[in-house]
Amino acid sequence: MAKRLLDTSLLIPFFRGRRRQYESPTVQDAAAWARELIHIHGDGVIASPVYLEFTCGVDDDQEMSLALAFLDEFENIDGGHISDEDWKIAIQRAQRIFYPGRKRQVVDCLLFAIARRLNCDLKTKDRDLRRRR
Amino acid sequence: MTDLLFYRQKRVDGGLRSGIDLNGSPLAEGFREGDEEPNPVLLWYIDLRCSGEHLPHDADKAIEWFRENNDAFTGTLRRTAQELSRTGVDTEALPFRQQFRNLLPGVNVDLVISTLGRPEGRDVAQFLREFADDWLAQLDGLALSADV
Repeated sequence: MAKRLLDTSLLIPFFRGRRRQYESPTVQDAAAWARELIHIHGDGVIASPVYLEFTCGVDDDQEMSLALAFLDEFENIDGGHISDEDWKIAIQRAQRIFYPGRKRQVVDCLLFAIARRLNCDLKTKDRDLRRRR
Repeated sequence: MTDLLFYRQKRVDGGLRSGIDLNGSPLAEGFREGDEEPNPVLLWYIDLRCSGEHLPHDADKAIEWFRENNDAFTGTLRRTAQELSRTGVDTEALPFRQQFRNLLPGVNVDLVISTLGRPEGRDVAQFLREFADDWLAQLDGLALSADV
């Protein structure tokens, strides 16, 4: 399958939803949540900007351990490599005003570019990424 | 146990992709490019996830297997489309999933549908009908993956 690249907008609500069900989850629990999400969508591929955005949203050490265990279950399709072409496409997208008053997000622009370069189809719930251009 | 997946998915730019995976690896794929500037965001996807002990293990046989079972699969897709035609599907939280245990002997089939949002969720029945209507043409149009 052309990889279905999962966006942060799918990972975070699922992680938080499972997290709320546990009083003291372990890293094994967090890894199992990730495998469950991978099973649901049939693919477990993310990109570096997703990894970065997810971890930036964590605010204590215990939660960071869970977040890292969760993220480690996914394949990072770009392997940490953001290419010159990615930056070029991301900047082009950043400079486009889709709707007056609506700003773009750094992670969205990079993710869009990586998905295009690596021939992935991008699975998201993010309204900003739905813009046709 | 073998897992065989036949999927169809459409992107915001109009690109339409179909393919068959075996145990998570691509066997065959077809892609019809959209007519707009490339945008990889998925509008929706439909998975037919099949698992069983005696499913085919190579691309040609897998395509043939889906072709032979055309009536069973397309009939199920159309019946499900009929059931969903009034209500649509709410996939805001998680994909829609329906299991079929008696569709084919010895095969468990899961139908999984995910959409970008509520507008596409209302049109799921149409997507299912198109998947069924194009069943054989899609199979004919699949190219074997390079690593098969």
